[in-house]
Amino acid sequence: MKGDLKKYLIRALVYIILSANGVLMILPFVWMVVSSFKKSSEIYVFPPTFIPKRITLEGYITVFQLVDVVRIFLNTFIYATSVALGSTFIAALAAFSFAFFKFKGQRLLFSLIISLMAVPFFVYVIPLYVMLVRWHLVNTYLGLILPGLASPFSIFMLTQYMKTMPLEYIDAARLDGAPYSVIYFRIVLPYCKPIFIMLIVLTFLSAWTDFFWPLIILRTPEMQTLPVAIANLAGQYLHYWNVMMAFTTMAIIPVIVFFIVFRKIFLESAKVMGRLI
Amino acid sequence: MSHVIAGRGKPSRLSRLSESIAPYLFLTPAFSLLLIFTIIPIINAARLMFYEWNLVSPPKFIGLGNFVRLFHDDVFLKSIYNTLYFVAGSVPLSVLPALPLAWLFSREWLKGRGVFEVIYFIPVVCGWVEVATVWRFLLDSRVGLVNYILGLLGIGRIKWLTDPSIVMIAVILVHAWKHIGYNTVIFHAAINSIPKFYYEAAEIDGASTHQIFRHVTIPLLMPIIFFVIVVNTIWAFYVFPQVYVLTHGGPGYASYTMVFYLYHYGFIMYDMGYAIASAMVLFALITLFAYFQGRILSREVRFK
Repeated sequence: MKGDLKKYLIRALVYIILSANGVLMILPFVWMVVSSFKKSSEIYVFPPTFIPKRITLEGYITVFQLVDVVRIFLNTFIYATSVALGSTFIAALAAFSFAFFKFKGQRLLFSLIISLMAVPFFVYVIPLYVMLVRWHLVNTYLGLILPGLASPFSIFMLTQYMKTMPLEYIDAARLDGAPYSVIYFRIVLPYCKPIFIMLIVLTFLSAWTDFFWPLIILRTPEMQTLPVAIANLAGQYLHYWNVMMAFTTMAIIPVIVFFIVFRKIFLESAKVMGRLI
Repeated sequence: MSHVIAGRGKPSRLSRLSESIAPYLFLTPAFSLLLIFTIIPIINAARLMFYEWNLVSPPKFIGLGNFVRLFHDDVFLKSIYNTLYFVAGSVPLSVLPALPLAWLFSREWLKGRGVFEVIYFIPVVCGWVEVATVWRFLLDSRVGLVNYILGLLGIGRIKWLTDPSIVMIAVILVHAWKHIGYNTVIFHAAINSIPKFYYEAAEIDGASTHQIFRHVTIPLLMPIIFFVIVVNTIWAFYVFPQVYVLTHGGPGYASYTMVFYLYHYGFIMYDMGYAIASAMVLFALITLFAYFQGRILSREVRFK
């Protein structure tokens, strides 16, 4: 009996620790949502109120007055979708070549891909930016998207995955005289579906939340993506916390919903990274 | 036919020519983009770090002039110090708590594990700008929730973001808060992949739960702990959006980090060659760190 009691106490303690930490993870977001519905005067009330005395859309209305919210969402969506789909398809083509062909310079080109993964973006961002200035691509969708379309990481991941594919599949198709396009679209891509979708989802989110490159390449308010627009608004309306929290709520809630819908893919991606070792 | 598909298939029915160019055709989109938008800029960066270049007049070769100037600039030295301080603080804080948390996650009797995992992962998926904006509000010294809660515990107002001696600690804490969930999920998956018979053998030998964690789980996790430390270190060196939003490098230069310095000189001052040189110093520092971490930690792993 005494052992049982100890066991239950320990279990209760574990639940308390995990829940307390869970609260720590989620409380900032709860506070963000609560504050976004307060009047600006109530933000400064002491002690702070956990349920707004008067729930108001003042913050949200102000955001819509100050920022072209629809356009900002559209920009972010265009950027994230183009980069996610574009880079994954282009990477899959290259991976197809690396995984199923033998050709001169193959090892050299593949080690080039691996070396490029080790070079951080900030090392070459300045020459890249100046090049795009010369090509008049600053503050354009094309300038925003093009540099993100070739991802050494995606090429590497897809190549490794394709190499696990049983060669019998392809041999059979080859004997039937199927052209490459059929082999690629009907055999290789369906086989790679899990990793393909994983890369699209991960790249979409990382472009959606990307800050450094959009901050540099986008100049005017109507071209900005969400993170740039939020940072920009914070520069002018920082202490209007209900307005700032309304904007971040609008930006974060879709991300959390997206994550919960694709939670298996996200959690699996972290685990895959772990299992690679 | 050295280029036959999959290396061992039958010769193709396609002509010899298309067979030999096919692999290169598939590589063309990726490699032309990489050449234009990555490789050429890298080569230019390696060259222009030796030039004075402000976009107005043509680049002027000044040898190591940029580097001499960098190491005579107190703000740059402060940025290096802050970056190293940030790495030294944020990596242990985001990795160490994740280990016991992951271990608790792996208890077989635990209910609601999936819910915990999702909640812990939410800060990971949210963008840095959004998260840092919320934390800037939470850490506000007058209206922030953090100081209110600390006040209830009898702790006076802390100027998280405006006191030069505290500001980097605030940035570190926010960073750790965002990354703990990621590390926890990785460690949890790794713990789950440890074969059960290790634990069974330890239990038969009469080992306590604590001893099992210390002498079975941790040693078997060493390779993954190593991986997580290296990845977290590299991320920590990139610290930028959190500083941009939380403090904008301030107060004064108290929270300047190396990427922030590079951003300031590259895209505010348009002192391009100088900014590239500062980027190269950071790159060298990261490479050096990754190399030595790899050597030290892999030795550790081998002896365990």
